[in-house]
Amino acid sequence: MAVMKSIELKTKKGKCISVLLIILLSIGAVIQFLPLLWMILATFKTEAELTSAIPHVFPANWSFKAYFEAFSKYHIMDNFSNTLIICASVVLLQVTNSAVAGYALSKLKPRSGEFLYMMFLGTMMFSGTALMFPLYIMMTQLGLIGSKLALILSSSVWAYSIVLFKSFFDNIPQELVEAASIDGASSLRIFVTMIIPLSKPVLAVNILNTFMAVYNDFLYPLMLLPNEKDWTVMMRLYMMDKLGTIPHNVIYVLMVAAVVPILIIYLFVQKNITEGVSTTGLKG
Amino acid sequence: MKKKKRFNPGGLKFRNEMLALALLAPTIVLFVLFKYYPIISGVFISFFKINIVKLPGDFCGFDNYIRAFRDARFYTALFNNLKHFVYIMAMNFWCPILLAILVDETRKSKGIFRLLYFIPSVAPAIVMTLLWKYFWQPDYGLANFLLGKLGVGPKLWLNDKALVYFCMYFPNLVIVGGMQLVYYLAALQDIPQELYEAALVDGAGIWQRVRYVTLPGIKNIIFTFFLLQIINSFNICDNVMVLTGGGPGGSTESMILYAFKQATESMDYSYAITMASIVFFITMFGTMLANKITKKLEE
Repeated sequence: MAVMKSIELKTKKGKCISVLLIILLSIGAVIQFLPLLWMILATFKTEAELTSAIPHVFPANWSFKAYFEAFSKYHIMDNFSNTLIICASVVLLQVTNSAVAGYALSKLKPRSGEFLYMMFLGTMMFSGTALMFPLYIMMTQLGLIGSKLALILSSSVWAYSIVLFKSFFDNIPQELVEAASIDGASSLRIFVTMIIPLSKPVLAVNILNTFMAVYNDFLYPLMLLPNEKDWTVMMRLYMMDKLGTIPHNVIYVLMVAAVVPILIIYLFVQKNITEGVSTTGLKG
Repeated sequence: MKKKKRFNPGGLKFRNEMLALALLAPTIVLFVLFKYYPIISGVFISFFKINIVKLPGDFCGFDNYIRAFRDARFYTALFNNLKHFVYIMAMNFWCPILLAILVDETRKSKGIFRLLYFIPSVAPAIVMTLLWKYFWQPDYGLANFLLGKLGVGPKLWLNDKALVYFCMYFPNLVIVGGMQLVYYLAALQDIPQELYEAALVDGAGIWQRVRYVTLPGIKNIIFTFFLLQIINSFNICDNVMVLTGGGPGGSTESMILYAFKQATESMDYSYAITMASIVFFITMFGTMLANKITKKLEE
């Protein structure tokens, strides 16, 4: 399964190489976490410590003041609830639509299916940045600027999700569906009671992808949500940094807080991701 | 059997057809409204001098495009995009490939290393960008402090034209991993074991096996990420905006960032859309060309 054979590994040279490799990768893995660790430690430091020319790894006095300030004075919870509303709406809208569309294309095979699939796929070439300005003008015309709906609708479809769902459903044997249909189950019932329970990995991957894309999105909210009360977490971070008057430790608190939800979700679905990657057949 | 099904009576086929269209309808509507309409109206607007109150404004032919092709700042931005691409290729692109091959060699600890390298990469891009921005900060950043320990004088980092690109892409040289690693690792599992055995019989060394078996085995996914990288490089905007705002002296300003500034600062939407359309045409043409070339090479 790998470049070096097990016989080679038993030789002295092979053993040396594999031990060296593990040491090297372990050092690398530790380095991966250092910036995050630094970020967490910074939340406990004072502003003077953070802007001193001689930085220290550990704070002189562990202080939770920045946390209290971030939540009570800077109301970062508002930004999280904005982000959550937007993310949940987009996930609900997009994943449901994509799953249903993927099922229709893969298992019901309408006559125009081929054409429609190409129509969806074609939009993968439209980068978000090419769509951004026309969408802004469109939303201005609709009077939706400053409404979360503008952002939700702008991110409501993603061809990639449909591709993932369709290729996953393609791997479910058609005979299975046909057998159920002969038994008298309607196509819709087959989808709900048979296909959905089989699709946990692809559902997880899609929910995660969509959530991440919306959570990390920064340019669209910047264009579409000018009012401070609607700002998402990422926008708030950018604005706090840009303003230059917010204490650094508060910014660090928001940074740490922004990582936590994503980390939790990832750890939960970690297994499904790798499964999803290998079952959707997209690895080339 | 197959032929018989096509003439299957009972209207099941028809019912399925109708159901499929009903299920697809919302998706079709959303795609038309929020993908096709904007892209077409964008190209349309690029031929107008926009008036946001009375859309689309006055027709002006190719004026916006001519303006872009005479705009020195636009050329600088285009050149900067190429520079971003070159730096990404040189400093970031190959890292997950190398890491995946190394991790794949560890066999028993493969899963744990994949997880360890994956976790830090889930941190949102803006968070990491800000963290590194403070790291490079000339007055109190960690970079100058560490350099001082080595006896080297302080540098301006992000404010230094010669160093700014290095600073931008250095993080991904240190913090490799993430989704790309997972994809490369998954692709590595699919290389037939026999190929390695055959190479071993032929007396191929480790490097030769990597060169002639491993890399060709994952070349499809490498190419996919390469294409995505081209597209991303031309659409770069947000990390530059956060990190340098296009500075120092416009040396990192990308086309989209320039367009963004035109839209938000000068309210010149038609010029912004024109530039975004040019980027769109470049990437579309580039992707199609790259696809053609690989098809030719594979024949």
